[in-house]
Amino acid sequence: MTDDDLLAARLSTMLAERAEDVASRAVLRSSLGRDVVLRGRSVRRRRRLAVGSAAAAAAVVLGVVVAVRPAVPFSHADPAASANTSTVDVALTPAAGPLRFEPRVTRTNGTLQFDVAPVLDPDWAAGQLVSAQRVTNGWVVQVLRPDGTLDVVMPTMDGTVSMVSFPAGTFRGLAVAPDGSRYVIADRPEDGRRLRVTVTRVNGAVVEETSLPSVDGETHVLLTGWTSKGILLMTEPAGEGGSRQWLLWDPATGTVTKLPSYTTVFAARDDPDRLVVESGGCWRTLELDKADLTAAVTANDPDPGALGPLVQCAGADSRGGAVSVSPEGRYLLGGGLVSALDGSGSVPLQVTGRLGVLGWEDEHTVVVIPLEGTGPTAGDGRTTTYDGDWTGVTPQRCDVRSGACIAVDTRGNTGWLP
Amino acid sequence: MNWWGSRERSRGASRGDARDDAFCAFVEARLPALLRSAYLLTGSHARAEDLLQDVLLKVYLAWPRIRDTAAVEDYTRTALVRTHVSQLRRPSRHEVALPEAADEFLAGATGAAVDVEQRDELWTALARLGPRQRAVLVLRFYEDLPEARIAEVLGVSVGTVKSQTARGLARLAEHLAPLKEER
Repeated sequence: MTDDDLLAARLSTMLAERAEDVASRAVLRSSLGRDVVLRGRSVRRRRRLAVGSAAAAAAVVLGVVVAVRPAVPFSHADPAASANTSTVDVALTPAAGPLRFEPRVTRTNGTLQFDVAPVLDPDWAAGQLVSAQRVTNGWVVQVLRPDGTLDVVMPTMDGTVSMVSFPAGTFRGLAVAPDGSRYVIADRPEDGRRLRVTVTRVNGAVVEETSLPSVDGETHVLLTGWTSKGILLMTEPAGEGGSRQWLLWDPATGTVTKLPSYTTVFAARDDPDRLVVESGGCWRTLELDKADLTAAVTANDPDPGALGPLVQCAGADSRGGAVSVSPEGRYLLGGGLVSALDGSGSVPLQVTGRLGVLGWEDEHTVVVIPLEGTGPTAGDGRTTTYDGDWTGVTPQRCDVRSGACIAVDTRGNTGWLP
Repeated sequence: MNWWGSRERSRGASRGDARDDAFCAFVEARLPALLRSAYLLTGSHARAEDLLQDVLLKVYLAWPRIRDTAAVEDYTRTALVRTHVSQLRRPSRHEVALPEAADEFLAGATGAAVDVEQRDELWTALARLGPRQRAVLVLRFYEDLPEARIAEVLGVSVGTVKSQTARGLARLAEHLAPLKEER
């Protein structure tokens, strides 16, 4: 055997061993294919639309465009002015955030944007990601722990996060002020006290506790949103056909306005002047600025001039699962169908099965989790309960404009249940 | 045209999704092997991943034009080698693929066995070769490709492959000689 043959043999062995190092060391990302697809789609769209603008080029060259959500004007009075408000020492525990953020590429108005998407950190694998809601300065995350405790993690203005833990069954809802400056959390303490509503400034420095004036069905109150007309609350069923009593509570004045007997009402996160309402299986929008809510209560019928076009009738819960409204209130997701709230049409999400909604990453991107299993389900239009053996499978990130979905890297957090 | 509710768009999206699914299935199946090849070509885990992503993007964009799916892997491997060689031939992007410090550390931590030491010397020597010469040796002695196929992948003649192989081995031997003398 010549020296060249010996060297070739050594080289061959060395290369094979080095190749094995790759298998043991490299982090093989199962999502690489999907990542490339996303990049490739962006490239194709860019080519197709011939977007050669300086802005797009700059975005690609610079690599990062920080997506800033403009603050929505907020006209609502400060709840701290309420006579019922007192400052208390509610612990806001500093905690490591439960989310990791994975880079992704999106395209908005012809400009490529490098953004991040939330994924539950492996250290929190014992918990289940219930929701991830984007707010002005980060994400509000709800994580259900194995003992039933619900951890609500909120970003603060100094870049840290605060966490509040609620014993099983005591959490009654969270909403963010339209300008992002405050959170309001409702809970019913275990000691049997009446519903407690806590308003927290996002810097964690001021915590105010206030309470509702007496309202019908107080024991069932859930807090669901914060509008320019007050904080949206849902109470116990108040009518035939499962309709509920919905209230707008103005903490500044303590007044409570009853809404007509809708079955379901949503406050879009970034559109505080509008509600999305459902009655008799049909969905519409309700402009709060135009609606005479007092008259509406009297007539038990909303002001027709304040109602938007018919979005869709039935269908929204035809496949079961959650119903959700996009942050800016342009889309309604229900039963696997996405409908434009201006009534212009619908498109099905390209995923099968019943869907839970983990959260909206932006106006056009929703993360859903298909549910597999057997057993009875029950729903009130807004939430669905599952009895029996139901399990969430791999979450999907969906573009609501096309209905296309791709799997989210869950890093082992696939046990989410609604 | 309004995107909303377009049937044509819907059919197009469906075909596109099927293609995307097939592409993802291909990546998932071949990722380990492709990453190994990319690592041996570049000598760096980070550069290997960058190279592979660049190449997979090219493959994805070419995917609708690929009629013979059995040829996808050959196409990808060819793109991998050619992209690597062309990247390193650009003056502004030229980098010398030196061994990673972490590699050295890990190799040293395994016990300083003689064969490990020799393996690292050979790896270091390989890093000093030019990109095309290194690619020829990797394709010949790791991928075990015949000379004709290597010529096809690199877009050169068989004679060039033969000469590059011989010169590559000779340069490796040159690099290793001083190290032997030091011992």
